[in-house]
Amino acid sequence: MMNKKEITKFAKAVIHSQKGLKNKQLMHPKREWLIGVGVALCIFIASISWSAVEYFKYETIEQQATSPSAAADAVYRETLVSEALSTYANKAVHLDALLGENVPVIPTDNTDKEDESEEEMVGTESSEDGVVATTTQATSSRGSNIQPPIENEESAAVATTSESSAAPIEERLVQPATNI
Amino acid sequence: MRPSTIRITVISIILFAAAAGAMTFMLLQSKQQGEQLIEQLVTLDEQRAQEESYYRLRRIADESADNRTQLRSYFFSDESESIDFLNTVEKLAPEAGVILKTDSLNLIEDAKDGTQWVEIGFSFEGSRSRVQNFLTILEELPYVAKIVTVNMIATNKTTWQSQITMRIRVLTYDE
Repeated sequence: MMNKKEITKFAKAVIHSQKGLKNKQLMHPKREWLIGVGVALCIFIASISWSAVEYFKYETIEQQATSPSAAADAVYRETLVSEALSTYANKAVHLDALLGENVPVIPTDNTDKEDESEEEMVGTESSEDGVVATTTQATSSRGSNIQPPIENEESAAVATTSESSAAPIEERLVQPATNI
Repeated sequence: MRPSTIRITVISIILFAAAAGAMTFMLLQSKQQGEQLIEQLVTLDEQRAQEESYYRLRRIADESADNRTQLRSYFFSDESESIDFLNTVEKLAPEAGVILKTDSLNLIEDAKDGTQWVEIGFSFEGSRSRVQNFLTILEELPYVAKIVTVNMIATNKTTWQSQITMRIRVLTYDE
């Protein structure tokens, strides 16, 4: 039979045992390693994600950078230049034709200049005989073709002025050859 | 805690801080380098475009040299070229059978577009047909020119006199 002291002692022992076992060990290597590996994995995954995002961001950078550049495109209007050149070439041809028509009306005292201009017209490939032949032909053609109309026009001018009592014709009555 | 535990903990914290600092530094560096890469790529792209533009311009310049020279000959490069022009016209006048006199020569600037022109006044006389023909010759001279005014009167029964003012363009551009 237990006496009162023994019962109290047993009860204290039971109560004391209900506090559980106290773990006096501060470090748990397995747990700490798991935590460390988990954190490292999180950092590793975050790094991979961030690196992937940056990689894909800079992978398409060339397409972004190849936008229209600030360098201005050079414009060369070749057709316009060709048109201008052909226009002035036509003018030059027309001028040569006009000068060719003009040669017959040169006064006889300017024969030296006439010869020079005719030599320019004939060109350098002709021989001396050829030059003479050509100029002679040109002179004769000019003399036959151009001179009569000039005479007619002069006579027409005379007629016009005589009708107006030989007074100077007003500017508005004259129609110049230009298209101004 | 035991001293060894405290020591290991401190070392771990220091290593972790160092690793975190290095990681942060690398992140910032890679971000900064990435932005620098973008700028350099843009610059490189512009440089390539300029290079292409330069070669294209050079090719055009080489191919169009003759045409440009020809076109330039239709302009006065400066006012002094008007002397050659006057010599040409004065040489053409007797060939056309007219008596030519140069009245004026001025360098003017267009108020609208700022272009420069050499304005030359001529008066010439001869028969009507010769005067008209010389007018046409002046029009057909291979120059960028325009005849501004024309006055034509008959001074007597056979002689007509014409006074014209023509302008020849002076080529002005930044070389």
